[in-house]
Parts: sequence; C-alpha cells; structure tokens
Amino acid sequence: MEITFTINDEERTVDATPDQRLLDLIREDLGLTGTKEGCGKGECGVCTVIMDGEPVTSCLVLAPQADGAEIETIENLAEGDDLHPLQESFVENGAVQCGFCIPGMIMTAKQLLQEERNPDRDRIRQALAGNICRCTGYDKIIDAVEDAAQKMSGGEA
Amino acid sequence: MSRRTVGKEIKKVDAREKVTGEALYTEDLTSDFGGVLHMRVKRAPHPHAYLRDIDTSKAEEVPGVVEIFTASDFPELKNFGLIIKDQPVLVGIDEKMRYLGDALALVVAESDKAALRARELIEVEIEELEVVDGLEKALEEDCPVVHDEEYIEATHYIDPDFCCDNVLCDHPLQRGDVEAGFAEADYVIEGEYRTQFLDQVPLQVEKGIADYDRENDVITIWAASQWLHDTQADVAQAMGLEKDQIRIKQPEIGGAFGKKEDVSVHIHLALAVRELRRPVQLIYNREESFLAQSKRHAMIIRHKTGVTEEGELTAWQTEVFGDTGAYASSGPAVLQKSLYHCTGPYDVPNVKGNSYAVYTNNPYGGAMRGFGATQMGFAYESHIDRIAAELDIDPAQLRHKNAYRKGSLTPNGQELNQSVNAVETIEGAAELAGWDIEGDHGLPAIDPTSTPLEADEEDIALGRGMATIMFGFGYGEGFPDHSIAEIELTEDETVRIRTSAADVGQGVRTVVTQIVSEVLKIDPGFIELVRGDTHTTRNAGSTSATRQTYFTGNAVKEAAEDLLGEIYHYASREFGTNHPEMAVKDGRVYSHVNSEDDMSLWELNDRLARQGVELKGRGTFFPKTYKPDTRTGQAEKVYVDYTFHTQIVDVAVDLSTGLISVENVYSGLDVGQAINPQGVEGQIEGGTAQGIGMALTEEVVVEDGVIQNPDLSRYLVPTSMDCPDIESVLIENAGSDGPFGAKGIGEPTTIATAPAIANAVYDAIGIRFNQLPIKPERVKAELERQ
Repeated sequence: MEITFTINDEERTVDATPDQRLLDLIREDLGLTGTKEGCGKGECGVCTVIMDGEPVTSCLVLAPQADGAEIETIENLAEGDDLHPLQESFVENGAVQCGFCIPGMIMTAKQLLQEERNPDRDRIRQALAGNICRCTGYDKIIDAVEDAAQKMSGGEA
Repeated sequence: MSRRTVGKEIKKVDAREKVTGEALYTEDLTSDFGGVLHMRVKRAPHPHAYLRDIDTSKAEEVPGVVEIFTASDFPELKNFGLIIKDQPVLVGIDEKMRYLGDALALVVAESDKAALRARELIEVEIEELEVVDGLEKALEEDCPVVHDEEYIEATHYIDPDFCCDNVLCDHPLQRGDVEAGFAEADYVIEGEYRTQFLDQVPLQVEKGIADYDRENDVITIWAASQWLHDTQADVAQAMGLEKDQIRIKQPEIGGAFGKKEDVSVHIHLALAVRELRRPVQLIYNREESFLAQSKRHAMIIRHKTGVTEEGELTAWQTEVFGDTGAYASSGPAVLQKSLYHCTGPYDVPNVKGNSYAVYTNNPYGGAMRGFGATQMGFAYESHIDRIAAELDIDPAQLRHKNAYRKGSLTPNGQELNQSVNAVETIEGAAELAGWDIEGDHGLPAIDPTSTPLEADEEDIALGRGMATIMFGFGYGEGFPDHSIAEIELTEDETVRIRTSAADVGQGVRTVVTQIVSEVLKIDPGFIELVRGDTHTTRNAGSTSATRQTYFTGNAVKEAAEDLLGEIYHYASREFGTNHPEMAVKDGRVYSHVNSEDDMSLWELNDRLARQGVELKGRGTFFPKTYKPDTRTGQAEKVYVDYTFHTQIVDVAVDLSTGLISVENVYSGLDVGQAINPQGVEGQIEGGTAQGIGMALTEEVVVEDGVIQNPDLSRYLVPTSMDCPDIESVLIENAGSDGPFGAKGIGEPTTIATAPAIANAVYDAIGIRFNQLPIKPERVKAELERQ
C-alpha cells in the first residue's frame, strides 16, 4: 500500500506493507540508520523518533499508521557541520558512551525541550524514564539536557 | 605537573558521530551488501535432551529458503569456547543439547520472514533427560551429568560431601593456618550469601554480517567482539581453517559488559557464507540474546571469619560455588578470580578457600563486569558489615582498621608494594558523605516527599551503608597478557594509531588519543584511529579485565615514544644538530639553536619516504604475572595491580510497599591518574547504575532451565528514575605502572554498589538481605515477619 508522510521536512511517498514497522521503513526503505533497535517491544526507547509532536517507539508503530504524519529522526538535527544544541551538549558533557541509546534519547529530550524551556533535573529524569541507557547511569545525560535547555532558551532570549 | 592533554577533559573522539546518528554499528552496514541473505537459528526445544532426529523437508519448501544447515553438513566441525572447547556449533543427531541456546539448525533465506517461517517448520525428535536446574541439584548424589567429558583435570582437593560429577573445575587457596586463626579469635562469624543470574543487557544485541572471498578462501565477518583476535582463533579452530582465513572487522559496538566476549553469530555466519558464497546476516533479537549468550554466574558464597574483640581479623575461610550453566565460557576464570578476592581489601593472616565452577542446564555463565569479583564483593562487604554490627564497631572504622596498607599480603600471598589506596578511598568517600570514621555515620536528613517513592513520611525509613572493594586487574594468574600498538604519519597530515582494542563505549580510543597527544605534543584533532581489523591491527588483548587503559594505554605510549625517538633520530640528521637542541610541538620538529631548522612531521616523513625510510613507531606492553600454585593459590605476583573503591549509599525504604529508593551515592575511587576525568566519572556513574540493578531489580529468573523473563519489561534495568546523581572523588596517587600512573577502573566502579545498598537497607530497617536482588516483595515479607 502507498503511504505519504513528511520525514525530516521532506515529503515522501513509499510502498509499505500492512505489517511493516515504522522502524524498518525508516532504517531499511529510507536508509536512515541513525535510529536503532534495542528490543523490538517498545521497552527500551532506543528506536524513539518524533511523530506528530510526540516521541514514539518506532518499533511499535506500523508503517501505515504513519500515513499523513510528520516524522523527525536524529538525522534532522544537525545543520551541516553545526550540531543541534542537544547534540553539542551531549558531546561536551560526556553523555555518550557506547552511543546506541543516544539517538532515541536525544529525540525524547528534544520533544521535552520543545514543550518546556527549563525543566529541572527531576522533570528531565521523568521525561527520559522510557529511554534505557546501560552505560552512563544517566547523570551526564541529564547534565546534557539541562545544559542544552540553557543554551536554547538563552539563544531565544 | 603541566600536561597538555592527559588529565584534561577532552571531547570523546567518537561522540560526534554517535550524536548525529552517523556512527555505523553492524546492522547499519546491511545496505553495503547486495543480495544479503538472512539467517535464523533453530535452537534447542528442551534444556537437556538427546537430539534423535531432525527433519527440515517442510521448512525447505518455504519460498525464499536458500539452505538449511544442520550438523551433518559439517562433519569436521569442532566445538568452540573461550577457555575450554566444550560448546557445539551445531548439535548433531544422538548428541546432547544442554541449554535452550544450543543451535540445531541454521536457516538461510532471501528474506527474514521466510527464514522465520521455515524455522517454525523444522521438526525435531528428542529424548528428554532430567534437567539439572541449579547448583544444589548439580551437586546431589545420582544427579544427571551434564557433560560426560572431563575437560579439566580438576585438582579435586574437594570436600567429599557433595558429588563432583558436574564440577567443571575447582580452585584452592591456602595461606597460614585458619584453624589457628579461629582459635585466636574472640568471635567466629559465618554467613552465606547468594547472588542471581544477571544479563549484561548491552543495548545492541548480537548481530553480524559475513562475506566470502572465493579467490583467496577468506571469510570476512563484521560483528562486535571484545577481543577480535581471540574470536578469530576460535572461529578458525572450530572450522579447521587457518587463522588468516578468518578476518573480523570491528564495526561500532553498542555496549558489551562481558557479553561480547563469547562467540555468538560468528561461526554460524562463517559456515554459511563459505557454502553459499553470498553475504549473509544474522541478527539476534533481545529474547535470543537473553537465551543464547552468557550470564553473570549465580553464586553461593560462604564465609567464616575469625575476629578479635578489637576488630582484628585473624582468619578467613571461603567456599564459592558458581553456576556456570551448560558450557564453560569464562567460568573457570570467573570462579578463580572470585575466590582470589575473598577477603576483599582486608589484611588477614590466615586464609583458606575453595571455589567450584559447576555445570547445569541453565544459560551459561560467562563474563560480566567484575568477573566473579562482583559477586564476591557483595559477599565480603555484607559479611564485614555483619561483623561490625556484632562487634558494635562503626563499619567505616572496622574497614579502615583492617584495610590493606603497603606491605599487606593478598589471599594469594602477593605483597602489595605500590599504589595501595584502600584507606584513601574510605577517607575520600567518608569526607564527601560527612561520615565521621571515629564517630557518627552522618546520615543526612532526606525529605521523604522528594524521594521517587511518593510515600507518607511515617512510612519511610532512611539508612546509610558503605562498601569498600578491591579488584586485581589484567588477566593475571600467569596468563600471557599483552597489547601491541603501532603509530604512523599519514599523507593526510594526521597521526594514525593502529590498535585492535575494542571500544565498547568505555572510551579507549579517547584515552589513547590523549596519550599520543601528550607524548607528541600535538593537538588531539591531528590524531585518528583505524578500526579494529584482525588483518591490519595487531593483538591488543580483550576489552575486559579492566585492562585496556593500562595495557593498550602503555603499548600506545610506547609506540608514540618509539615514533618520537625516530623523529629525533632522523630530524637531527636532517638538521645536522644534536638531540638536546631539538623539540617537537604541534606537528613540527625544530631546533632551538637554528630557527631555519624547522619542519612539519609530515615533511620529514615525505623526505624519508623518498629515501625508502618508513617513519613509524611500535609499542608492546607485556608485563609478567605468575601462575598461582595449584594447591595453595600462592604466587609472587598474581595481578599486575589492584584498584580500590569505596562507596557510601543512602537509601529510603518504603515500609508500606517494600520499595527501596537510592537517594545519594558518594564514591572514592583509586585511579592512579585519571587520563580523562570525565570518562572516569562516566564509568563510576554507569557502574553504579549496574550495581543498583544488581542490588534491587535485576534477575534472570530461570526455572527448569527456562528463562522466565527474557525481555526488558520483566528484566528490569534501572531507568533515569532509579539512578540518583553521584558525587565522586578521584584519588590520584602515584605508584601505578600504567600510562602516566593510570590504573584500570572499569569493573571496580560497579562492585561496591550492591553491598553498600544492602548495608544501607540494614541500617534503615535492621534486616540483612544476604541474597540478591532485594525486591520489594521480599522486603515487605521480611518486614511483616518481624
């Protein structure tokens, strides 16, 4: 079946099968391999993308559900060589170890900062609770989100 | 000391491509292979059974199926395994399956869907055997035997009150006279401690792609491995090929923690591509990763300790049983390391012990962060806390009094004569936490409403606990342990480091970049690393045993110094000057005396190339340890060095639900010299999170050989809500032989957390949990019993 959606600001029409996962559509059909798979059951948050203004685990979304949707993946954040403030803060704060959870983590954080300009640490913890990281203990990830929030609200002011 | 890069916070060299999504992990390479085939593995339907027949005819009819391989297709195939070759690549007819991960057939198809469908249609006939479901059963008289073969000539100085048929191997330890020590003691305190099976849960599970070069008969495998050259050797020997016929290339690795030491996808892929001559990929899912790969050994540990009224330890006796499951994997070494850490960081004159690795039909026990020393850390630190309570001595004071000092002897009789910082870690953590070692443990007021427990104030009990651990790093025990690194200048005006050291996220690439930057006085931006590849990089040993900073760090430092020496040698010839008159900085070599004698390193390299001279450096680090005596476990040097770590943890216990929340964590870590302080903190924080999981939530529940919770909604890895902010102090004292005095810290960061939490829970509610994890239902049940 044919579905049309916007991904990373680009409208795309693709052939999808009814049982195809959005994750596979993104990774295999569109070749956007920045989004990872950690469990395939919506339990780890690794495959998080933003769909219509909500962070979703793309392994649990069927491709046809994306028809007409607006989707954003990790590939959309940097502009050329310029990293998004969240990406920059993750690098600067040492929030990245193996990196496998990071694309999903950043997408969840991005949506949080879209909704709240200056979330405190407890709020950040809550927002990231669905994204498992096995390496960092989250401390530096929370530092990074806090730092990015400051950069971003500073930039807007 | 003024340094350029070492000890400074530089950006992790691989972070940028990981935050943009550009980093390429194995599964991101699929599109590079045209016509890649998909493999699925048919695994054992029963944890202990003979395979009597296998019928693939229906499966073969599924459209898209290319081939289904069984053991009969490879009559020459040999077993594999990290230490002992006891694991079959494929179980053959009339052979035994010993756990649910055993492979019976490999289905290869044009699509994953077809492979999955065909796998369902494979019919097997088995003869079921009684399942050896755990340690107790495995040691019973008349218990079924998991392996008939005797792989290790067990030393068998074994207490004959249990059956040894399933004992894979044992390790003894003896120093001094424990009986005399117990006679000297005012108290003899005994305790039994139990730890659970854990899964390492790297977020990236096992995945691989392989291709075959027909012309040269070389199989190339793209898959994560913590030790490329060891995996290469194991694959080659199983298939009866030369090592050079197996080439393994290291893509980005999404975490490991011990799970990527064993062979997983590698041999299955290699077999298929050589037959089919087309690229094949094998992608596990999370459940398969739980099922097929290693676990942290479940252990039963018994301590018996003599102590005087003044708190002086006089004797320590230990017995350790580890459930190594169906196959040996790292089990023999895990049980050895566990035993050798039995007294923790405490000086005891009389020590005796035995450890046993025991086969069962459970998932196999292998490596996981801390390698047996983690389970032992929970046991000795719970035990020491109990002793402190019985003697009514402050637990910090008891630890401080008995902790190793210079000149102390480990249980192996190794004299600690360099960089012994156990006491400093206790003092460092205590200072951070406000614990007065001579007096009060200083538990701060915690606002109960601010805990994630959301309980009423009267339902909250607060407690504070401490744990101090030690960890001998490197393989040790006389195992040849080394790393080889090379450095060269490239045409792109960079300095290229060649090492096969696996960066599983811990940051060895950043550490070696800093070391080269320091030695050559050059900006890290000029430095690049090749990816690990068995055919273009030399053996760096494994990313395990907390060894890469120390071993590969030293090898790279030596390679950089070798290159520096070469630069001096040839530049002085070019300049017609003497070495003391020269310097190297920012990619240039120049003379202090004559300002015209100044050229870039790459210009020098070009000039030498024209003369047929290659400018490069190589370094090898190969320190010696000694094999412990087979009867007593004694040797002059068993581990290259030891790292110490103290943690203090505050917990809140919800008396109404039994839920425990970790509120504060304070760490004092003995690092020698932090090459990258931010990276060290990251290890402490991540290690602590894994310790919190071990203490409170994580457990692979296995019943009759069957995992009951092979997913992340029932196997509970700590989330951001479960992990508090951590305060740490890095103890930087000279004396270690690591690069710039650095010690290894990866595994020691996780060991103290679980016992510190258990001790804090005891402090909060007066109940000592000697078995992990401390789940809310157990807490609640114990509270109700009282």
